[in-house]
Amino acid sequence: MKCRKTLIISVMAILLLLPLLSWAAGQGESGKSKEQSAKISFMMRGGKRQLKFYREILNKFTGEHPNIKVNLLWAAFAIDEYFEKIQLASVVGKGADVFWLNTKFIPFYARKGMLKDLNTFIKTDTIDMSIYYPKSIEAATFDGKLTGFPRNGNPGFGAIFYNKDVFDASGLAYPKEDWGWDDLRNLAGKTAKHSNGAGKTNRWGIANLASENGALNVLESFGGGYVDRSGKKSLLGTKESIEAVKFIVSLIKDKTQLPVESDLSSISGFGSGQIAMMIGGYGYIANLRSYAKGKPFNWDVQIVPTGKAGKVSSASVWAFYSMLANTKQPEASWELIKFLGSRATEKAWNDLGGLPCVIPEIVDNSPLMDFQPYANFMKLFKYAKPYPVPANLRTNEVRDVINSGLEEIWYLKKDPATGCRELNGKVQKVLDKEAP
Amino acid sequence: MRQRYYLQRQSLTGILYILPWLVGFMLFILGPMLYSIVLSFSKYSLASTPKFVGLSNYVEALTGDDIFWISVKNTVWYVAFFVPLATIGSLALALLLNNQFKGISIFRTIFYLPSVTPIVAMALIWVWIFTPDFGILNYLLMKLGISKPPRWLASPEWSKPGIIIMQLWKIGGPRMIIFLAGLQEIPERLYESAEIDGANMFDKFIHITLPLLSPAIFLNIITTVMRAFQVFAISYVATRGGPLKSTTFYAIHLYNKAFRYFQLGYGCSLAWIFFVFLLLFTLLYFKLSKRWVHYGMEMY
Amino acid sequence: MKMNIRGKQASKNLNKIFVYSTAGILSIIFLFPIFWTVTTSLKTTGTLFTYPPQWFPHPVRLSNYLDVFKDVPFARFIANTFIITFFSTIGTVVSSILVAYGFARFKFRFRNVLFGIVLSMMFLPAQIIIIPQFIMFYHLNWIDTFYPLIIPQWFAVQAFPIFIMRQFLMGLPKELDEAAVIDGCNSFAILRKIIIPLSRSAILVVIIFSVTYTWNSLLQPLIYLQSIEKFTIVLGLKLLSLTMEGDSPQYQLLMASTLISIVPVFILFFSLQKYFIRGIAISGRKG
Repeated sequence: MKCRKTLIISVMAILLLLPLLSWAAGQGESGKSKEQSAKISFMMRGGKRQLKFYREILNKFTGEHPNIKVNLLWAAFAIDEYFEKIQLASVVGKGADVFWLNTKFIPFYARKGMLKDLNTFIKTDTIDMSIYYPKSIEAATFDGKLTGFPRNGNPGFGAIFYNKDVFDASGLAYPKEDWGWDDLRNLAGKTAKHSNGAGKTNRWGIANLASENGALNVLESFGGGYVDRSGKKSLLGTKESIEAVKFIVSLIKDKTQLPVESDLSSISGFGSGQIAMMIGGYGYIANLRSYAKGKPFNWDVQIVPTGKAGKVSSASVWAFYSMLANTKQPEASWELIKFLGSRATEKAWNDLGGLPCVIPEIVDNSPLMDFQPYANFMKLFKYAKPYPVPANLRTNEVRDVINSGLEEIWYLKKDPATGCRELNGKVQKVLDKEAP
Repeated sequence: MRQRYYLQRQSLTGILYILPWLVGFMLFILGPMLYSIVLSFSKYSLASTPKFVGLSNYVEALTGDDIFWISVKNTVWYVAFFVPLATIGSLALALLLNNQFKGISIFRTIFYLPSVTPIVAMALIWVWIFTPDFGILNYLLMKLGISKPPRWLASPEWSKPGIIIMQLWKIGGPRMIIFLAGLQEIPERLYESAEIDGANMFDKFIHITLPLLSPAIFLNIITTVMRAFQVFAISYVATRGGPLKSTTFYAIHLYNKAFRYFQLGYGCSLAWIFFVFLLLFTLLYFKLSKRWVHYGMEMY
Repeated sequence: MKMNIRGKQASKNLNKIFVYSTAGILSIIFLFPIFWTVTTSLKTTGTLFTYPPQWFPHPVRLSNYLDVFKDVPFARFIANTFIITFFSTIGTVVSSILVAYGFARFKFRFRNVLFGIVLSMMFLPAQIIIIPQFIMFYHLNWIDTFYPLIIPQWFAVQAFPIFIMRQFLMGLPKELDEAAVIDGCNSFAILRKIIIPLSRSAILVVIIFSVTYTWNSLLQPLIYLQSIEKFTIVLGLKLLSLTMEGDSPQYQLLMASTLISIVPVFILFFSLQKYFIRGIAISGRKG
């Protein structure tokens, strides 16, 4: 009998533990906010390098603002997973107080009314916004509200990296700025090297054209694209898009373009001379520099070839720091954003070789400008075109449909014309749906 | 009178003991399940309130969603190949290790190790081994004279076999241990008397081992099938559903819909279709099992 | 007669050779991925992609193991994983013993139905409840804490340990309990003094299952843990596997951290493995 009592008591104790713990957890959060100090959370993403940078920056921030405690939330994962994570946090109406967003996804959150208008803060603090690229501010403005503070610029995916050593060894002239897509095909064909009666490819002429951003670049330069500027119409069925896809497929069939199923990483392949040229964006510069430190080789950047629609550097994705609309700590969050977007932080980031910062003056005077490939790359800003976002905000869905449709073509399971037309219908179907 | 009182008391005590589970089940499982039924009949996404839409999510899933059927096909393919291979493999391993030889426990440990490896770690290890051009596996295959080895996870034809190989690495895990425990429950004297009757190894296996092992086989098959239907993490980490959707299993499709495209209501309806199917499958399996599971498995 | 014994001895030896050689060959195959992980973890960026691959790294770079801890708070991840695993395993063991005892030894209404529900939870797809659970834990203020990973385990939400424990208890002769009842023990005293000491091996099985499950879980930590300070090892592995565009992952670091992550579980299993098979009773007839 006695023991039964013990049992009842112990079971009750376990049951009691539950609300108690949740109460304790709640206390930790709200208890402090009553006082002077504020606790906010900041969500970022990236790999080791970004993590290190942001931990240092936040240390500095707490040094200057001892009354604000910042909890760094990290989505350690690929960029898509980051968005999955903040979306999940936002289902319940509460993401982080401050978080990183980019032009691919800022419309989604802005239109859902989840982002705070930063203009009022800027006015009261009289921040000089003219030091930032106007394009960046434009991209984050919805209905007159500034929904994100500029974090970094991005001139897009329209750089053709070429391995100078390969060109020298093949006796070919380097590509010139006024080149066209046929010149690229020519050079790719001449630099590709096969052995064993074309059975084995020892060097690929060009890489990355058959990727989400690479293909978009070719399509838009040919005058086609994925989705039009209104975000309502699929462009994949247009004559120009089909032509562009055909162009890429012909390079795959000639074995001059690195096939999608290859496991040759484009950085090490390029560095070791197994790839002569590749299309790419900013990330490649940092990676190639660190690669060349270990295994020196000569390389440079040329702007994308001219197509029917001229030169296009597509998929220019800008990033921002945004504030959650219903944050409980708007002032503290603003302090953090101000600090993160400040000239000093931007400069530190730029000096580290991160993405080009959003302050043109820093970019122009960057010590990196003495580095020829970097300077050439920065010319792309002139041709930058933002990533097309669907009007109904179903960005991931549209992207997945496009990518898997194109994948079938790159794997040569479907011919370009039929593949594109089918894909056009599928994409249009998603674009015609209402917003989720 | 006393007996009756004792029984009542007994039943109260029994319920008291299972109370932790009862509470946990209501709180953490039943409650969420009921809520997810409600969601499955509504349109629900980010920062909005659920809107009732009737059966339309279910209709959309079964008739208007191309990827639904692709994912069903992939999952069935996977289950059809993985379950027999894994069951037979585990059983064979258990038969091999069902000996009291010296040092056999070291082998048991070796075969068990893969199953305690975190799935992310396992995926990383195998992606590295499977790498078509630099990978050690294809290097070895080429040494063995296969001039064009499969491109494994990079090819739509070989990605599912690749994932099955990864999973088969774990056949020495709990499944094998359950077989082993079952084998050790078979009394030695049965074999001895069969030997006196002149039975050979094969006879003994068919007439003694298999029937007496049937409860373990029963348990292993159903848990393996259920796990296989729900295959998720390995594809999520190693291939993310690709290439060409060849590893987009049902759970991956569900995850994409719910967490990538933020169609939570639709995701819940996919989950419920899944659950009802698994439940029916299990019931059918239990029913059929009465014919071949040898002695009263005291599960119920 | 003599011949027969000799023949038996010979066939036993033959059997021994067969078992050892087959198990030996198979274990080489099974251990190969681990071997390759070790080899890779000692390579440098330069020797990683050499072709033909290097079987034994030259030069050996042990500092990869230190590099894992350099930019990422990996030690913290290990500590977090230990904390979560420790508390949720205790919860699983305690609750599953109580519940299994209730199911195995007492008669009450709907017992079989309830146990059927326990079993059917083994087949419940996790995705079905993850969204409502997330919303619920949010309202409890449990997001970004260890509670969603630990507390439910104290309520026996894992069906498999209950099943294992119950099957084992069913196999223990009831006469023991009855004798104890006559001696004046109540049910809890029986559990404490008789059942638990006798089921030590089944408890170890539950421990191993629970540790493996918690140590390796991906989806729950991925969803509930957000601060870098609260990450588990598995999330840390994902962090290290992230690469910049166009780059391939630093496999040597990944493999080093992978090894760090699996060694504790290996040790646990190795030290407990002799109890392992004893603790599983399938038919409920053991003993």
